[in-house]
Order: sequence, then structure tokens, then C-alpha cells
Amino acid sequence: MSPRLAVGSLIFVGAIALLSGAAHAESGLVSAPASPAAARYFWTPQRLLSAKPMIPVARPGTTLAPVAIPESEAASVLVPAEPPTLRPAPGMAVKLPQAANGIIRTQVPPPNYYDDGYYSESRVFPVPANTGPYPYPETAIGQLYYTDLSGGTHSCTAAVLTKRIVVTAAHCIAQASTTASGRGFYSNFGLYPSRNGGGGPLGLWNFTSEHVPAIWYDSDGSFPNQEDWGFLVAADTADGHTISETTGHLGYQTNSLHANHVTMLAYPYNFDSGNMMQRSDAANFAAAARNTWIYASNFYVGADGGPWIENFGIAPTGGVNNANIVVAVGSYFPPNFQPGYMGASEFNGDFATQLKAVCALTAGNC
Amino acid sequence: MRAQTQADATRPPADLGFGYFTESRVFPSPATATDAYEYPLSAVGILDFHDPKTDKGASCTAWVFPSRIIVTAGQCVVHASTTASGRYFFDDFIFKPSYHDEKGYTPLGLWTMTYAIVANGWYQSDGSVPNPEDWAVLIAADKTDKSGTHKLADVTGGLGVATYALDANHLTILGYPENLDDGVLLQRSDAQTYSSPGANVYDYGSNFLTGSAGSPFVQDMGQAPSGVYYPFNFVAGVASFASNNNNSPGYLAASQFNGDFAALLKQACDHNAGNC
Repeated sequence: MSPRLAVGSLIFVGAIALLSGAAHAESGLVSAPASPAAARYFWTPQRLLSAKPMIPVARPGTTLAPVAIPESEAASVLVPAEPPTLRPAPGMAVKLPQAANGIIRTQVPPPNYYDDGYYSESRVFPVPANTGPYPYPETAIGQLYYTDLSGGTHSCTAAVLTKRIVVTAAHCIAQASTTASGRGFYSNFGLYPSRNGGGGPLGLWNFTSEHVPAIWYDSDGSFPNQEDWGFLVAADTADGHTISETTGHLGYQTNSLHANHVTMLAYPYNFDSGNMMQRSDAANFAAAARNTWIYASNFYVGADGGPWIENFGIAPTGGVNNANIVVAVGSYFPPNFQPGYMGASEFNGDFATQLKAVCALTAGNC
Repeated sequence: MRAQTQADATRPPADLGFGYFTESRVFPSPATATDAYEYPLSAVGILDFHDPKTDKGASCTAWVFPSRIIVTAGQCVVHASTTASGRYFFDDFIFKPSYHDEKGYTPLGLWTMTYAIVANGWYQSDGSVPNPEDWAVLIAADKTDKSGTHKLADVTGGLGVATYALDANHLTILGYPENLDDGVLLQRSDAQTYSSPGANVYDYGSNFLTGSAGSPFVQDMGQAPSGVYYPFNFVAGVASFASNNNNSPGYLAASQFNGDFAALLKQACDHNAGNC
């Protein structure tokens, strides 16, 4: 288990104070340093293949309510997306083992609706030839591997959000608990951006620190959770390039998950065994508890942490102004352990404050 | 692929409350001007035609139903009228599948039409919308080159048809609206059923405007991953009209494919051996 530090707190005393659960940094984040070098060589083909999905599901009895738009909208923060500036470096691509078909299968073909919510689903296409990278903005999405507190390996989906910061679900970064002894940060984080079948065309990226909201960390770890998002700060390449120079990054907006239409991009295990990037499109059709909103989807485990993107794609002239804006990351599935919908915590003012704190950690993070 | 008729009585009604959509240029654009979009996008194109009465040209969006048939809106094929003397067919139809870029490249060629059939519900109407049957089909002439004679769908691939599938669904609209990229690149707009003015017409949130008439509303547009057991790329209707709110984007409406459309399609299939 990694020691827990408050963002901006440079002395360990701060961490001790935090462990009591009594006080938190102003940003509401808890953070842990990481050793990118140690994680660099952890992901052997055997470990990648043995990764099992975690199954975050809504607690039984979670009720869905019609979408009601709040009368007074909170002001939203919008930060635009940026395409990559570098071509993939020679030798960057890695070969990945492909999970066999049928890791997770839903026995009954799901209908393309859940209650009043309808969705469309497809493999992201065209699939680039020779396991090459998907085009931007898809370059900025990848498969994230990590080791849990008992040594099990898992994967989620994650997206590059600023020059160095990767966003995913908090539950893909840290074990939550209401007791200090029960919680802790996961380890060996490795991101394969633009993973395409048997290829990791943009290589393996590791991280220098991890951050999750205290609202997640100190919770009982059940879903829905108000703030199931977290941040990983990617280590630069040996020659000093940030991750987004190669992948590009998406933008983000707060208070924009309710009453919207999004594209989810992810590596769910129930399609192509989690080896290929998929998209699922839907409109918000229900509200759930704790700042979470529901979109119909047949994505299942492995899709958690994936970005939910407003105006995904390439804006035509005469079209929308701000393309590729992340408004949430996938958090949880229905309580019956079947696909049907996904819930996500809406990026809010806390999100903006927390991200700002991580941006401030090192010059050039954002 | 063949026409699929499914009454689908188990589908719940749409809430008709969600007008949200996502719009994007279809990407990546083909690598060179002479490359086509990847299937299933390759089955969609621009349909140019000529109005013999006004001597003006216009264009719509159309798509391929294998093997020789293209489907578009009724308004792109005939001038409707409540009087026999007032109604007439347009002419000089040219279909340009997978059209892209300003230089006018038609990577899959220009295809002429040999026959057109339009729904009476459109033909004998006053030409106003909403109309319950704003659709038409045309039969493409084969092309012969050194390698032999080819039907349209041999080159483009084709989409399927789903009847009674527009009223409560989430679909991808593919088209060439002139308000986006000047109508020279294929666009997609994704949304779920939003509302209905009645008359077998359903609205989907979209910012497509002129030029998108005939655009297919496609269920499960894309390429099916392994682990999926249902068919992809079925068309539930074609674009008929857009919201007319100071030209501000809002919604795109289509007539739902129904039993009448299936009969129309069968008539076109039966017109020549090998059409379908």
C-alpha cells in the first residue's frame, strides 16, 4: 500500500493527519507517489492475459429517475482538446497478447434499449492496419492495467486529459474503505494508448503519481459514488516528451453529464474480448443517486473508467465549436450483473478544483 | 443482406424527451482522393438529379440496398402533386457513392439509373411534410469493364432494411448536408427518437439541413465486434425534413419504413432478375 499524501503537502505529517480521516487538502484529493520504473517491466504477457475485470455494479435497489434539468445551472468549466504534435517514436510500439474470445459473454443478446434509453454500439472503425494507432481523437484513449491490493491484475479504460494527466475511474486507482486499514492505492499502473488488438502502437506509459477524491477513498466503495474519477500523472519519455505529444488529449467540461448525448469509448471485455476499442452512443435517459447519471449501453466490465465524450469526432466546418469534451468517465453497471446501462459521476466544481491541484504539481502538467 | 420485417411489439415506446445528439465528420477521411470510405460508409453517396420543368439540378443523399437498388427520399425522385398533370419524375439521376472532398472525387464511380419507383403516398400528395411515405427507390445500371460486369453493390456493399424500427430507437444518420463541410464530406449524427409529429414520421436530434434528404437512419451502424449476436447496419427510414427554426439545427425527421416500404422494395427487387 502506498503512503497517502495530501496534494501540495510536502511533509509526511500531513499524511498522518489525513490518515485520521479528519482533514483533507482543500482540493479534496488524496494522492500517492508511484515508481514508473518499477511498473515499466511488470506487465509480462502472462500478467496481461491473467488480468480479470472488476465488476462495479450499482447496489441493489438503486432506483433510476427521469432526467430533470436543474433550474439554476452551475457555471461550467470548459477546457478544449488538443491533437498530438509528434508522430509515434520509432520503437515505441509494443506487442500485446490477445485474450481469447469469450472471456465474458452475455448469454442473451441484449436489446438496444434499457427502459427509455436507447443506444448504438460498434467496434471503432476503420480498424488501423498492422495494429497501428487509431486516428486522433481515438489516440487519446487506452487500456489501463493495474495490480490490486491483494496482487490481482485488472484492466479499465482511461483517457489522456491534459498534457500529462490521464483520467479514469477512482475505483480503477484506489481501494475505498471507511476504515484506514481497508483503503489503499493500487500499483503497477500501465497504460497502452490506442491499443489495437495485438498491438500497443503508442507503447506503455507509466505514472509518477495517482490521485483520487477523498469522497471516493473514504467511502464504503459501493456504487453510485459522487466522485468516481481519478487522475494519473504520466511520466515523460526518456527524451522528455509528454504523453499528449504522442496521443493528443481530450478536453473536459463540468456540469454537462445530465441532459446530453455522449459517445463512450472503451475496451469492454464483452466485445472482442477487450482487445479492441469500441464506441457506444446514447442520450442521458435517467438520473440515479449521488451525482450520477444513467446512459443506456451494452458495454460491460473493462469499460469502466472510459471517457464519455460530448461532440466526439472531427467537427466539420459549420458544425460544433468544441469537439471531444469529456463530461464523465464510466463508473458502474446495473445491479443484476448484466449490461444494460452505465452510470457515471458528473464532473463538477470539485473535479475542476482537484484537476487544478494536480496540474499545479509540476510545471507543464496542463 | 435482405429486407427484414419485424413488428417488434416488445419494444417500449420512446419517452420522446431526448433531443440530444452527437455530430461529427466521418473520420478518418479516406487516405487519398481516390480511396473510398470503409464499408458500411461506402454504401452511402450523393444523388444528383435534374428537374425537367424548372431545368434546375439538385442533390440528395442516397444509399445502396443490394444488389442494384438505391434508396432515397420521395422528394428527390418526383415532383409530387394532388393532380395528375402536376406530378412528374425528375431525370438524369447520377449516384456518386462514397463521394468526398472538394475536388469532386467519386472513388467508386458514377452510376446511372434505369428505373425509379416512388410511394404513392408521396407522389399523390401536395408535396408538403410531414408525409408518411417520403421515400423512393431507383435501380442502377450495371457497369462493365475489363474484369466483367458489376452490379452497384458489388462495388459499394449495401445496407439492410428494418421496418417499424424508427419509432423508439437510437440510430446513426449518415448524409451530405450542405451546412456542414459545404456538403462535400460524409457526416454522421447520432441520436435517439425525440418526438413525432404523427403521420408515421419521427424526429431525431440533429444539425443536418439541406442536402440530407434521403440520408439513411441506420441501426447499429459500424462493424460488429466478436461477442455480438445481432446484425448491424439496418436502415429504419430516410431523412425527409429538418426543423425550420431560423435554420438553427434542431432535428431531422424521417418516415418510418413500414409494410408499404417493404412492398415497394419488393417491387423493385422483382423488376429484374438479380436486383436483390
